[in-house]
Amino acid sequence: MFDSRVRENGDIEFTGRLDASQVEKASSALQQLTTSSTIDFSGLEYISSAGLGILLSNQKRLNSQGFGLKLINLNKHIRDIFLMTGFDKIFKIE
Amino acid sequence: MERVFKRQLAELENIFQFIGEYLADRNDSKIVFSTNFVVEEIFTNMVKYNHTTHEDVTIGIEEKGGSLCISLIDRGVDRFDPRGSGDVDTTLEASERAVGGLGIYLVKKMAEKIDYEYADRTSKITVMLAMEKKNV
Repeated sequence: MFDSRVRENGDIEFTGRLDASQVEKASSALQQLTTSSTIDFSGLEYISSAGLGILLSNQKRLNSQGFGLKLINLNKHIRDIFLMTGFDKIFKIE
Repeated sequence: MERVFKRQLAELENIFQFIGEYLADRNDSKIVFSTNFVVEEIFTNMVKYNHTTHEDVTIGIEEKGGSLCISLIDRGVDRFDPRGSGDVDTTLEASERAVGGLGIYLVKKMAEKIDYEYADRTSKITVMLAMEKKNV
């Protein structure tokens, strides 16, 4: 299962598994963002193309308004996926 | 090992559990991640795009030599050979990137080999993953 929550400092925390059956939850959280934001992936175990798609569509939306997403604490497997898709150039990653 | 799953995204949790059971004794998070990814992408494609059928989808996993052989069988469907799609330009900037199409692209990147068979309106996609290298 996937979950997200907003921390007191405004960062978003993703936890669990972001697969095609859970992507609506991530979409709801991301659509509320109206400025540059940080998403902490430290509790995120897995992501598929459904999750990548929703991240990209929100990055495009925010970029068009002069903002962007920063993703932190990606596990090795998710980081590899980002490298393979060129998403490491599209998002700020720490 | 083979199991049958209903044609709905809610089955993903059961599918991941099935994969986890098969790979439980390997203690290899890389192959578990890659297998989950490959199966999810092909299964969700079948669920989303094969509207001519209500048949269940059969998923098989077996080890052959140094590879993990993953097969998905979909009955009552039109031909879809994943080897002919999934080209993505990963050098484009965000504004130029399409939101879809990454799934099959990544499956092809991860796979050692992909086979496709189509007969009697039944599609069988088989993906081989190297057990020790090339996987995410």
